[in-house]
Amino acid sequence: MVTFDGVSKVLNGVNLTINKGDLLGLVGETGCGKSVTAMTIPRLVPQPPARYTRGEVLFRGENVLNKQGDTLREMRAQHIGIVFQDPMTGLNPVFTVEQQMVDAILSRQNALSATGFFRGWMPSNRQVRKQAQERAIQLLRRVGIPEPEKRIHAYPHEYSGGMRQRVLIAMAISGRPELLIADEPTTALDVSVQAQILRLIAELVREIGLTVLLITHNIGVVAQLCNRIAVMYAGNVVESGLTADVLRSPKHPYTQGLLKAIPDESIERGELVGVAGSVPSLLNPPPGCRFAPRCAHAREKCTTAFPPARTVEAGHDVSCVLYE
Amino acid sequence: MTLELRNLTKVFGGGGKRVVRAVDDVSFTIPEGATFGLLGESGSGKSTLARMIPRLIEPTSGEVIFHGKSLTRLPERDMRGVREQIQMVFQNPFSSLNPRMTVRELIGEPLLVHKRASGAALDNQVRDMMKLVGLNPEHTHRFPHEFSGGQRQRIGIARAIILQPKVLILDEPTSALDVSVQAQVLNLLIDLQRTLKLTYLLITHDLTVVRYMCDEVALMYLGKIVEQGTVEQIFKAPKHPYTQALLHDIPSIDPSQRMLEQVSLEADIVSAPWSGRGCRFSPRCPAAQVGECRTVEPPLVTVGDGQIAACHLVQTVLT
Repeated sequence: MVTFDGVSKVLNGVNLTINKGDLLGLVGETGCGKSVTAMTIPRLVPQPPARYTRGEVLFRGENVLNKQGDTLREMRAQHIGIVFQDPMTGLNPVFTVEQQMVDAILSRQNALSATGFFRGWMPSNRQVRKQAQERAIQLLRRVGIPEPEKRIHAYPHEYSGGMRQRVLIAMAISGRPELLIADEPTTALDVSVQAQILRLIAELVREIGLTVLLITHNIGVVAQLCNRIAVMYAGNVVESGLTADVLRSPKHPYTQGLLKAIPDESIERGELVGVAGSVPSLLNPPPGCRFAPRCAHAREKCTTAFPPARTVEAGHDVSCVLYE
Repeated sequence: MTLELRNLTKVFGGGGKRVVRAVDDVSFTIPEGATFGLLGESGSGKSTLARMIPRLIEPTSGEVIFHGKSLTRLPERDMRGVREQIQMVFQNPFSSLNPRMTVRELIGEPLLVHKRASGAALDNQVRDMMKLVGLNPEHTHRFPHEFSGGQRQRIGIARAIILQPKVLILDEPTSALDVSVQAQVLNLLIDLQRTLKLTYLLITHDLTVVRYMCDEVALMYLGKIVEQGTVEQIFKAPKHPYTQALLHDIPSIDPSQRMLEQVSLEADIVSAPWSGRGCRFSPRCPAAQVGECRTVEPPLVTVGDGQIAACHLVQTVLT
């Protein structure tokens, strides 16, 4: 990523696999590159400023980084749905929910039938709009909006945060995608509403067989929703595996520190241990393992090269010299 | 008795406009040296309540009593002295610090405003404060953007304690921070409380922070306290259905807890609005409804040793 201050090395060789039917939780702190990683899949990271210097993103067997134009649009429309973090800014305040949902549904259809030159600019006929509207109402009902026939005509400010997030989820699943990318979908919500939204995502996974990539900094959310977890630090996936395995016996010192920093029932006042130090600058990251400057187990070897992932138990990979 | 709130109420609107009772008849006492937690979802009135204590917002009715003295009718001139004793730490360390001021100006500003120090004396105090909150005292000439979120919140804390206040009102001090940084800031607050003998009012929507930090806790819902007790009571034996639902909805880091399999609260405040009559939680309440829930507002009653709750169902259980 080229910035005013120089070249920021945001992703440093990320290896990540999502299998069909997975609910993968990608966790990490602000600035660790989890959103950039996820938004690379639908190629939503603008280039420039971003530059992919090496590696590939294989989605359904094809390298996404080589796709352009209509094939890229078609891939997004047909296979990928995205829910962004902030339900307050994810919807346009000057259009009704109906207008925005119908737009989303129609532009998806247009992307899929973009064969003719002027096809995208043709005014949609009344019948097509009507069908899209019915589909929108059906989707709103599916995501739990009460009285969708009435509420679809309301503006976003008439919805609560939780309801707006439901609308965004409805828009994301409107094209029956295979992969749903949810970028911190519950961070801006209260805990009781968060639980409702997580329940909704779990239901959709069961019913329509979605594969989900969930980005969050809340490990509790991953523990409750996801079957797999990947922990990122400063542009690397440092640990990944089944959620139950990783959370019961975290191997990487960063994962261990992160789990100890969560105020739990058993922790007495004043005894919480944070991770000392702070996240390194990605403009000039430390050589080798980027966590080494904050790590209690760091040794000389750590500053020479980033340790490759080692499998410590079935499906549980760790990138740390302690397990070589 | 350091700080007491008596029937504090704030009404916004009126005069033809819709009336909102943001804070409705709230009373509690924070003993000296204690940490009192105020929990509530967004829109519950907790920040309005906090701002009424140093009268950044004027209460509509009710009283704030600080060291036996009522602040409500104190002239503005005398309020200044009181505000030296009651300081606030605000939520967002990215917007609550002026980006054009250096750290020295930011932390030293209260000393100038209250005419406590200037020049070299001010510089010394700022440096001492920076050491106390874990900032490098050589960074006095840096600007806020040169610091991380956690460091900025340390600047906010230094600004608040430089006047040696008795009470700190912490309005969501860590909700903009990552967990590893949150742990550092919470521990700093605990250390400062011990060394400077501070009394804390901690406002948050994060139950885990309350459990870690507080002695006593009150839960607010639509402007009213619905349950109050010691942390032990609230987390081990919650009585109000709202408290029980919130505790259930904290996503545990233990995957075997299976929180999502049980429904606690279905609707939210907008899709199930309160009619203005009866219990304000009744439209969302998962517990069995008695007729009174929709018609009579439940009063706060004692449900345990010092624990109080406002729920008709709790009353029926006890009597």
